[in-house]
Amino acid sequence: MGDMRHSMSVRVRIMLAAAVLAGCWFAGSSVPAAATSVEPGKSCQSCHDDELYRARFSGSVHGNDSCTSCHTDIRSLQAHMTGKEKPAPVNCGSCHQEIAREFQKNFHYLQEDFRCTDCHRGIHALKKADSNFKLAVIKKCTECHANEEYVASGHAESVLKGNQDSAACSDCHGLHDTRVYHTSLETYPGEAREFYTRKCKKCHTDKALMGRFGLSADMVKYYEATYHGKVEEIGYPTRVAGCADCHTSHNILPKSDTRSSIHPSNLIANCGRCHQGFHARFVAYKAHPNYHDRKNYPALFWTFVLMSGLLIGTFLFFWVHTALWWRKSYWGKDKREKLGVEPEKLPLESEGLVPVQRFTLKERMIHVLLILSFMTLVMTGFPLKYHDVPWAGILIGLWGGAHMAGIFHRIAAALLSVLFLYVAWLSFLFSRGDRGRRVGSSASSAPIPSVRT
Amino acid sequence: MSRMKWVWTVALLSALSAVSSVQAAEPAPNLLEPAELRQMLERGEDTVLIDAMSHLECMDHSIPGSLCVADEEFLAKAPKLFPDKNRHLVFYCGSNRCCRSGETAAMALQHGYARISVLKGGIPAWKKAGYGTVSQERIPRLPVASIKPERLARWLLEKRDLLILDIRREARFREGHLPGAINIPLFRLHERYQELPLNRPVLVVDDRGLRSFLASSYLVRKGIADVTRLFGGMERWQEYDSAKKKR
Repeated sequence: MGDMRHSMSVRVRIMLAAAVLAGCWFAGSSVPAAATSVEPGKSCQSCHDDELYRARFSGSVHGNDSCTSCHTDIRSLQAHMTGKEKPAPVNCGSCHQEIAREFQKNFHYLQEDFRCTDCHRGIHALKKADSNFKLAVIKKCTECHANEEYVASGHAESVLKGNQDSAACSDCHGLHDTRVYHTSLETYPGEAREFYTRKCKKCHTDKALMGRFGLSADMVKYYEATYHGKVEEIGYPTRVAGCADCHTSHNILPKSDTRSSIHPSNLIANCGRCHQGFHARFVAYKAHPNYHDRKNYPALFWTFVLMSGLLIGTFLFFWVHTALWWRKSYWGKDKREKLGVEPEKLPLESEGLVPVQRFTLKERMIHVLLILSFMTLVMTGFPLKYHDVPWAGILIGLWGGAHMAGIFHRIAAALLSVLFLYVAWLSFLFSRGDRGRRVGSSASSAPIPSVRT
Repeated sequence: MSRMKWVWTVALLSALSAVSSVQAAEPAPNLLEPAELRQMLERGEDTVLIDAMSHLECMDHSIPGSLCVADEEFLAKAPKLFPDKNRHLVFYCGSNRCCRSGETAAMALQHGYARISVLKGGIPAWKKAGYGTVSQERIPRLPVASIKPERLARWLLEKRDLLILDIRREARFREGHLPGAINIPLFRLHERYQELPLNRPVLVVDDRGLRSFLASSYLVRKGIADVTRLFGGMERWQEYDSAKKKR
C-alpha cells in the first residue's frame, strides 16, 4: 500500500516535473531563445532518457527546476543537439548565493579547488539529508577524513549514539566556510586558537544545553578568569592555551578516560607541550577553578578571602588615617584660630635656625625605586585584573604584549621584595636602637612608626 | 683643504660599497600581488603566466591564460617556449606554502631571463582576492581516506601489504623516503600511472599533504581501488619520527 502510494507520488511528481519542464520550454520564460527552435513535444528527457534523468531527477531536491535553470548556457535546442552548444560547468552560486559567498573562504576551495559536486556527488539525484543532519555531516566528512581519532572523539561518538546536542564536524569547522586553519598548516596559530576557542564557548556557555548533561556552563567563565583566558581575551592568543590546547582538537574525552589528554597520567606530557622544566606538582594547576567554592578549591578560596581582606583592610586603614590627618591639620587649626590662638608660623632661616635634611640620598633612592616597582606592578597587573575593559589592551600593548608585561611584572616584584626586606632590616624589626640617631630630630613625623623604649 | 679630502674619501668609499653590494646581490624575482597581476592581464601587457605545478594540477585548475610548465621541465622547455629572454614571465604555485614558483623563477634568472615575477601566495591568494580559475581537464575529487603518521607507523610494523608511492621530486626522494617507497614525481604521474598495479593498496605521499589528494583522486579514476594518502605528507612524518626518537 505504502509502496503503491510512493510509486504513485513519484509518478505524479515525474509528470509534474515533466509538465514544469515542458512548460519552461514552451513558455520560454527561462529560455527565451529556445522558444522558436524547440520542436513541439520535445523535452530534455526525450534524449536524456536515462532512468537518472527521467525518474530520480524529478524526486531530487532540484526536481522542480527545469534543466535550463542550471544549464543556463543551453539556449537553442538545435545548437545543443548538433553539438554547437555544450553546457559549461554549472554555477550553483546563481541560486545558492549565500553558500557561494561562504565557500569563497573554504579551505577545500582555496587549496584543493573543490566544487559543489565534489561533496554533493550525484547532483541529479541529490536528496535532502535525512532528518539526522549531524549524522549526515559526519558521514560526509569522514569519507576522506577517516582518521580514527575524528570518529573516536567524545563529540562525534555522542552524535553517532543519537545525541543531537553534541557537536558534529561542521559545528566547529563550519559547513561551507571551513577555514584555512588546517592542522598541517600551522601558519595561523593565533587566529586558529581564537576561532576554535570561540566555537567551544558557543555551546559550553549555553546553560540549558550544558544542564542536560550535568555540565557547568560556568566553566568558560572560570577559564576566562585564569591567566590563559585573560591573556587570550586581551588579544595575545598565540602564547597561551585555548580550549583545544589542553583538551586536544578531536580526542576530547572525560578526565577518567585513560585515552584523554587530561587523564592524570597524561598531564605531564599535556602541559609539557608548552611548559618546560617544571616540577611534577605543576600539573596540579587548576585550569578553570571556581575560587568561590570553598569545598573543592580551599587554597584558592582562602587566598581570595585573604587578599580581599588585605585590600579592604589596607584601604580602610589609610582612609581612616587620611581622615584623622585632615582633622588634625585643618579642623584643629580652624578651632585654634577661632579660639584666638596665633596661627603657627614657620621659623625663618634669618632667625638663626639651620634646616635639617630629613631624608638621605639613599632613602630618596629607595623611595624612587619603590614608586617605580609599585607602579610597574600596577600597570602590568591591572590590565590582567580588569582584562575586559578597553584600556587593558592598550596598556598591555605599551609593554609590548602580555608576555613582556609578565617579564616586567616579575622584575618589579623581585625589586619590591628586596626593597621590603631592606626597609624591614633598616627599621624597628632588626635594629631598634639605630633609628632614633639616624633619623634625628624629625623622628616624630617620620613615616615609620617609632617604637623607641 | 683636509676637510674636503675627507668628504671625497667618504663619498668614494660609499659609492664603491654601493656598487659592490649591487654586484654581490643576486637578482631576485619581482613579487606580484594578485590585484597587480590582474591589472596587468587586463591591460593586455605582454606577460606569460606559468603554472609551475605538475601537468595534472595545471590541467585541473589554473589561472585563465596560463601555460603548464612544471618546475622540473622548465629548463628543457624554456628555449623553445620562451626564446625571447626579455619577455615578462610570471610564475605561480598551487598553494601558499609551495616553493616551486620561486625555484623556477630563480632558475630562469640564472639562465638570463631578465623580467621574472612570482605571484605572491599562489592560486589560494588569487582566489581569496575573488578571481576565478579555469579547468581544462578536471579530475573529479573522490573520497580518499587519509592516515596520520601514527597509523602509518603501525602499518609499517604490521608489515601490511602497501605500495608507498612517493610523488615528490626525485632529489627530495633521494634525500630520504619511507621504507620500500617508489618514486613517480607528480609531474610524470599522467605518463607513468600504468606502472602501478591495480590490485595493491597504494599510499600516496607528498611533501606537505597538499598535493596527494588530487593525485589520489586521479589514481582512483584510473582504476586503483584502494588508495590512501598520508596526512601532512613527509613533513608531518618527519616531525612525528623525530619526536618519537627524542622520546
